Amino acid sequence: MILAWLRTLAFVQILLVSFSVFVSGLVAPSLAVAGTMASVGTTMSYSLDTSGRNYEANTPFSLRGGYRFSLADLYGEVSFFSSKSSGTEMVGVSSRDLEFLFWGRKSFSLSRSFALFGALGFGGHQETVKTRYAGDTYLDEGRIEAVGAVASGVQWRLTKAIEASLEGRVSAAESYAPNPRFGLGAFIGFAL
Amino acid sequence: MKRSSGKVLKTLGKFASRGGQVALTSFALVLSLTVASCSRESDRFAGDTYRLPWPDSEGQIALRPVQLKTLNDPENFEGSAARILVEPAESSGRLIAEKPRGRYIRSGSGTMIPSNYATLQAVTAYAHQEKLQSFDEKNGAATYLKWPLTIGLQVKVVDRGAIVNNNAIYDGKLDALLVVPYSLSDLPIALNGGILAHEHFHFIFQKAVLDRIGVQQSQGCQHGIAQTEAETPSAPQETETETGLDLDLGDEESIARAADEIAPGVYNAFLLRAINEGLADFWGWSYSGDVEFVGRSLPSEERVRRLDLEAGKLMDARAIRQSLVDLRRADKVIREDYRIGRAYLLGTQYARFLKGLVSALVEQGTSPEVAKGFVTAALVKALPTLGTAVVASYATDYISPNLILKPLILNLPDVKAPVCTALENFRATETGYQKPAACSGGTQ
Ligand SMILES: [Zn+2]
Repeated sequence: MILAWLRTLAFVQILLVSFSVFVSGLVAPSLAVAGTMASVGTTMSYSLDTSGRNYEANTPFSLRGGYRFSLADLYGEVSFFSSKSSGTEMVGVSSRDLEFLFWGRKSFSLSRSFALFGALGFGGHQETVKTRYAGDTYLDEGRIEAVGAVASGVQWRLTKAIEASLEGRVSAAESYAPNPRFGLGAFIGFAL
Repeated sequence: MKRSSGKVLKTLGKFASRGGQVALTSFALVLSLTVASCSRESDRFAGDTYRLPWPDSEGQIALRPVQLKTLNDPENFEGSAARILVEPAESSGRLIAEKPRGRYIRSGSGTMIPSNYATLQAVTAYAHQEKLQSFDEKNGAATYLKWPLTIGLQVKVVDRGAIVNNNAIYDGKLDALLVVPYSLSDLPIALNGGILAHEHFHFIFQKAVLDRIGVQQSQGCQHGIAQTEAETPSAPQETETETGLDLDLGDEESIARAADEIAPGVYNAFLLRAINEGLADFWGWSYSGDVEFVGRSLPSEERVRRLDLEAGKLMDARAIRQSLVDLRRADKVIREDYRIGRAYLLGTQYARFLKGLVSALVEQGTSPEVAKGFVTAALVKALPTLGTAVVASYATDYISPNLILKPLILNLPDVKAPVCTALENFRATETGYQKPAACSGGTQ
């Protein structure tokens, strides 16, 4: 519940920040605005389990929104990942992770439909843990930890307004195991 | 529970509403957030508080904050009390594992919250080792052990080709406690302080008694660790002479004859296992204060292992040997299983007797906590005497089941009639038995 509220809030505020960037033109006064962009997708990555022997897959659900300027794209991304609960009937632990990143992306056209891009992002993530024991449940929110990321990939314009992208991503945060974390992302959305 | 992200996002929102300047300010804010949160992992140190399933003074378990003074590397579950290995394997007689990755979040109040089940188990098991270290120091047992202790969690132990679940095994050869995966719906063994204390006592008994005769305790079954299929022998091996016999179990004479044919080593191994298990159950109760700690995780054991029942009377050495006779016709592996089962039954008698001694001291006017401390410390002091006697006669004589009783009573500070009565009711009737001096002395 709290996390859902946070997610919405984070998303709305990232949009607000992006919007204010657009309005003020402070970041790059000479940039011409080409239009808005929004997309959904996931960035699959692997992290080590507690034994340090096995890798487990993370496939967060991600939402992006922002603006496309003539020089670069600026957008916010919110990702949400929930681990499945493990334990016994009596005791168990589950966790959810909310990550928000601000991205700057520069594209290089290859053809009318394809472009290559490189992107730089930074933001934070927060883990929420649910612990239950014999009927008692605790929900704890961890502190926000910094995340930095770089990404590179290909954009494919499917129609005039619809665009898909595939990207490889390297992101780093102190609690990541392994750190940095490698991911493969796929997004689809509109870009006007 | 502090909602730090909400606060930051609200702050971000406030800035956002001011229009253009917000961009740089927001970025600066995020940067400062970055710097602030970089300290998240580095401020881990011994003395942190963790929220764990933990008993109160009545033994009632609930999620509570527990301060751990010695866990200075929580990510790797390492501190001066123990080294917890997750899914370890055996290599060259040692337990080895990848570097574990304990995962936690720090709540708004600074409490470390394990963020997955494996971490919760590992850090709770560690917490019990730290508390057991203090418990040992209080009772004089800490010097027997080499700290930090090695504890394996989620260990894949193979017994006759099948993976073992729902158990904890002290392996004397590896000098490690192996906790295997738990698949029941009750209290997982890694979170059960009583069972961990029971196993902890096996470390002590190994050093104080079994090492002196070169015997390595293990669960008894022929087990190996799945990753290596290495086999840890059970203690001790049977003699070749003890093969299946076609006995007439209705004929007392032939039973007596067969009982006398049981080699001292086989009988002594059985008795030592029973004593080891019994004292370990008492240790589990003394640490946890829970009379049914075994049943909390293993409900099928609850009735036979609970400690608030009468101890009954010990069998003498001959009767114990006779009880082993009917096992001789069985297949060797089945025979070993039965023997282990019987050793636990005899062990429970010792455990109930020790708890009965605590009650006797209370009857004499000692407070329950102090009485428990007296018996626990007396038990530790009695171990070297037991060890010496065992060294002298392990291979040649049948050790008396009463052997541990006298040094135990001798080391109690206050022996009066209730303690002597408890002893008389429990001890095996044997010729040559000498009462402890405090119980008026003399030969029966
Ligand atoms: Zn045991």
